Amino acid sequence: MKKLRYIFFIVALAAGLASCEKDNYDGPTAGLSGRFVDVKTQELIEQDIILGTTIEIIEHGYASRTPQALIVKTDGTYANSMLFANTYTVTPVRGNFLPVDSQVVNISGQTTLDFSVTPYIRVNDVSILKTGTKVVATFKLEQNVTNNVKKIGLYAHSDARVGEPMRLVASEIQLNAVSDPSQVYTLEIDLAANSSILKPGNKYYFRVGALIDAGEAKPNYRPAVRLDI
Amino acid sequence: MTTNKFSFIILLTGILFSGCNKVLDLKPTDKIQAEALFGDPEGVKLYMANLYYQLPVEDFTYFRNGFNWNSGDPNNGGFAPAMATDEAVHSEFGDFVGDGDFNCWEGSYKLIRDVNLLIDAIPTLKIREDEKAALTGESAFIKAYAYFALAKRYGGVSLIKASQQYTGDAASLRVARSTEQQTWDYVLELCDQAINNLGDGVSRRASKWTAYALKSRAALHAASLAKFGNRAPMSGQAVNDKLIGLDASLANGYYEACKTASLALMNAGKFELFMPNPANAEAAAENYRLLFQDPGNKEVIFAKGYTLPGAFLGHNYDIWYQPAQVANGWPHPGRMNPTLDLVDTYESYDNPGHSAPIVTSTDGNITDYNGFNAGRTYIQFDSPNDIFKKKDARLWGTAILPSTLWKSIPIIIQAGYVKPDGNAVIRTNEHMVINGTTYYTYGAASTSMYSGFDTYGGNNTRTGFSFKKFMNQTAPIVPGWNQSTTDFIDFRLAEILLNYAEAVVESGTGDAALAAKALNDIRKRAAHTTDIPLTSDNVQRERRVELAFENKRFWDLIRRREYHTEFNNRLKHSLLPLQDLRALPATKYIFVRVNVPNSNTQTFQPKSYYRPIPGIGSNGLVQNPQY
Amino acid sequence: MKKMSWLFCIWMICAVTACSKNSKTSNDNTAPPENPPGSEEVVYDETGCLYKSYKNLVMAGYQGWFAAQGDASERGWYHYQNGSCGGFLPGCSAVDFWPDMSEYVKKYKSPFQFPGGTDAYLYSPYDEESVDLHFKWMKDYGIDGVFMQRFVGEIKSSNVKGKRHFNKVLENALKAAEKYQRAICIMYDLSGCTSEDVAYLEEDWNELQTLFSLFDNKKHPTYVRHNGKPLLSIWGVGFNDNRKYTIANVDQLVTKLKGKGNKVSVMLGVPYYWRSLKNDTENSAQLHALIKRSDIIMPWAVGRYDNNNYSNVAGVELAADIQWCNTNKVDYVPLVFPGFSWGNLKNDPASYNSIPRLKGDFLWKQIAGARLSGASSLYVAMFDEIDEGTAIYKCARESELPLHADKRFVGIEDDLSSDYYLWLTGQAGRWFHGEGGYSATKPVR
Repeated sequence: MKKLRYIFFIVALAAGLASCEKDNYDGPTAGLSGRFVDVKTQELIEQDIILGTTIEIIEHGYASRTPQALIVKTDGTYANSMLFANTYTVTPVRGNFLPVDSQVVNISGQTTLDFSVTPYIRVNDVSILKTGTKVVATFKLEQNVTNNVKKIGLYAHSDARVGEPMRLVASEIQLNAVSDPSQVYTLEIDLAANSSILKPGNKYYFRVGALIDAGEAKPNYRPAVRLDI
Repeated sequence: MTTNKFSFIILLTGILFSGCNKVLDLKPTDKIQAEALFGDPEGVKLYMANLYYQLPVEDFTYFRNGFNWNSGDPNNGGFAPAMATDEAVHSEFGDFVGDGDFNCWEGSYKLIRDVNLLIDAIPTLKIREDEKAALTGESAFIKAYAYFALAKRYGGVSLIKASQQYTGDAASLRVARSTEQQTWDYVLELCDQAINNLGDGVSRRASKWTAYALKSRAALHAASLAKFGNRAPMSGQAVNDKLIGLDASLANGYYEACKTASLALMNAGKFELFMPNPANAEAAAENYRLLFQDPGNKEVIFAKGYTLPGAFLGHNYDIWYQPAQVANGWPHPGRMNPTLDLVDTYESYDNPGHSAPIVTSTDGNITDYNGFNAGRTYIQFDSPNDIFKKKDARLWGTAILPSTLWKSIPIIIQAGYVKPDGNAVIRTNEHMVINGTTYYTYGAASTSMYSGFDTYGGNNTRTGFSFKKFMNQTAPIVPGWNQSTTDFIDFRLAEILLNYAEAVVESGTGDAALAAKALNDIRKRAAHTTDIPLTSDNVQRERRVELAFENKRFWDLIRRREYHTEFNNRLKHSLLPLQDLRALPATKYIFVRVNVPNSNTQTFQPKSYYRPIPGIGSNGLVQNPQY
Repeated sequence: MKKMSWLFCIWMICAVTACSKNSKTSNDNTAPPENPPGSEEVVYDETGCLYKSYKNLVMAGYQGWFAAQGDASERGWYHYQNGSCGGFLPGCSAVDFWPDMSEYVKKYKSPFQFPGGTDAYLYSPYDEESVDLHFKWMKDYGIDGVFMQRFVGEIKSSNVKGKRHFNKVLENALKAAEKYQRAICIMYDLSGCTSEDVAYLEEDWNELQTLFSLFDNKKHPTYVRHNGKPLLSIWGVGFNDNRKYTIANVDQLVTKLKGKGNKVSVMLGVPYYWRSLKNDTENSAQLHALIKRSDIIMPWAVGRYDNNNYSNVAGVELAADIQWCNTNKVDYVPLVFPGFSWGNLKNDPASYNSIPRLKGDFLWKQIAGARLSGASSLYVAMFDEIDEGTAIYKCARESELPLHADKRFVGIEDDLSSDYYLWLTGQAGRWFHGEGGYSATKPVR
């Protein structure tokens, strides 16, 4: 999409300047990258690769207010190295952390911008193990808002970027309640019952997530683990 | 009489179109041309025919690529809107709702512009006042129809209430989006204008009744958005500016509007359910099929007629969707594969008021989709369709079930067999000879003799079900484009009854007894004998089975904000009929519930509750979120 | 006009610095200011002040706008009556709840009767005795105090009776606040104002200080202070409901009120979605700039949620609001309310109990939500608001209501006592004062 836009832009520019002097505009040589960091633990905040937290950036100096979207990677980092040097309004949206204000950022060269945020939920003390014909996950929840926890889930996929929106098999519990910080939550995936999808002898990634019940909030996670089943 | 006349007009329009597509397009409109056309009452009729042709009716020519897909090269693979829902899969394609699908922006605004030109002309026409009123009402109906199509896709849109004059400044023609509430209110206001100006005859043109029907549908849509919007919260400028989203407090007002409009139709004394008291389930199934094969009955409130084959005239449902065995030389049949998910939804006469999922094994497990498991005990049936015996007649009238007759031919749908040694051969072309008899995995020897599970040509069902509703049983398939002339029912009484029932149960106000009767009258027509209570679940299940494939399910999932939960890494399901050769010499069949073969999971992105607005670079409109 | 304001301004600075800085000569308005304007911040003597910060307080809003036929205000059944249906008589009223009148000393016979024919009586806050009773309740139940509402439209000099009314109620309240040691503070409500009215507020504010010596730590030791300054609240900035004044008008007002010496602390009443500038909030960065210059903000939550969707709506808003305020060094006071009902005011039967109280479940859910999200103080809307049915004070129960022709009154749930919402708010007071034993579970009486 983005690429397409540049191509279009370049083509348009080329056409527009065909009878003029040589194109003397700089290409998209600037970039923006950074991390989402838990303000308390300083750890990266895990994300979804699809339908996850996005960063909207609006380039200043144009009438259009339609933002471009930067995708955040599963590990909580992001990078786009093909931006035009300019001033941008940068806003993380639809995240799994308390909303933060827009920032006006001057992007020139490769610019770094970290976001120090409070995740809705910290998923703690995670253990994901294969036990017999099941994969069993245990964990605790520490929530930072008073909303209900909508659901918790254990997700499996052959791709390391496994998560709620990207899974082959999911085992979920609809909590719809405020979580108990002292409780150990348990989720299981029955490998036998899913043998046509999680094929024995292969390796799959498993990841636990918890979704707060708030607007367009995204789930919070811990890193996926790879298991041989 | 009127019907014939109108069909003639469509025909005439079609001919004109095929000769010269642009003659009625009036693109470079200037006053002289318009006057010449509108000055003659016949010209107005011609113009009306064109407007009706443009009406965004989601009929047999409506595909994800748009409306009126029956001209030029209509080969779009036959990907029907039902295939983007849980009703069906395409025999080959695994596509889902893309950003470019199901749009209607340009076509709707062209229609609105054309109607506005007519509205300008009405006062100048030399016709009687009552004729002017009728034209005014008809214009309002067409405009309401167009804005409804826009509102349900885009939310709040630019309301072009009167024709615009181009004075050399394109920017002055720009009209900002109204709020979603204003847009829905305008749709309902136009419906009221139509109701107040139109006569109460029933024909193929707009009447008071078609306007009530449109209002019933539109008001229910708006009410649902208000009530269920919080199931899929959105954010962004369009939300902040209220261009999308309806406040929950508006729900009951819209439900009320739906109830009032529905009641007007229910009490009109002009409409009744087709064959409301069937002798038995078999008769009910056939009645249900006939209702759609030839929509000339009193259940129909508004139909889009098809009279002659040809580009702009006929449609392609028969060639795309009839089973492979009756293709009659057409190379691409069998595209519509009803899902096991839909089949499960139909009630069983044994257990009224509940979906009756197909149970295939003695353990009763209906969630195991891992395929044939020699360790499980599958229930053996005497025929490939015995398993559906107690299911709602409408299943039999909607889908072609394995080994049932279609055009006097048993339609063979078999996925494989279990060999006497207990090993299954599934979706592989094989045969074996036992005691001199040859058994085929697909139930017959060659591709022309069966209709299921072979991937050859994409012509076989991969769900275990083929398609019957709307199909013309009386004539062989004509192997060419745009040859089908079955009419499409846009509004029928059953939908109105269900709209009423839903508005009552969701708002908690209104005549609950009448609403329950509406719900059960429809079930009675399907040979049910036990009434079920008026509940939200019962109404929704009834909608799914009664209105299946009428392109309602897509919008039900949208307006009730259920799409993103129903389609979260969703796999649709198939039912594999297998001959169980372990039972020889007895002929027995078993069934295996599986994920649709060769399919991938589908996830509905919440942003897709609104379609992207095209051309924001030039029209300057605020885009919907996340596009 | 401008010049006048200037003069007032200078005069006020003199007055303030004089009466507070040199408490011994506090009555001498002519004493020269110790700090010339603009040089540095004004410093107040807070000796003896009981409420030096809003922190850890639970305070309510106090309307005090009712009048009774026969009281000295000469305003008839002001605010009990409903002009849209013909005044105050069975079948027409502005109020949904009926005060529990059993403890009032001064009562007025209303046009309403109970089943059985006995007359129903009402109170007037114009009477010192009635306001005294309200403050006594605050002390009895452990509610820290109230914000006295001043509607700018009501206190203009052109509105002689209105101004007299609100000044009398304030006088009653100041007296009672001192007597019962309850916190008291002024809150201006800008609803219905024009730009000129906003500017007029300053004039009224100056007048009040002269009239009541509000900042005299000896005379009014319970007037709320915050950040070392007397607190003043201005409600109604940033709302996107087409008001006739702007954020800039309020910004100028705050500048003037604070003056160069930062004379007062300001609490702003802002819309619920002030942080994200959406829904009820004007989309203007000016609002954030103004908030950053203020001392406290209190977002208006009435009608933004009910018991069912409270957590979903408020959970993230509260936490994110508090995060924003911590970052920007502004104090944050969330609002809680017991329920909402305005069927009679709106002549709409569907609006009775439109946000049900659920026997205090709804109020406690908000109290706990605020506390558990990290709030340290509360604003309760309201102490005596029965037009919109948010009152926490003693009201008649369902089975003890007067007849209302084809309309009806709304009562406190029958299995609760009429003081239940005072008691429950008092429990919030204890929790916010630091007492243990409270949680998301509603306390049992």
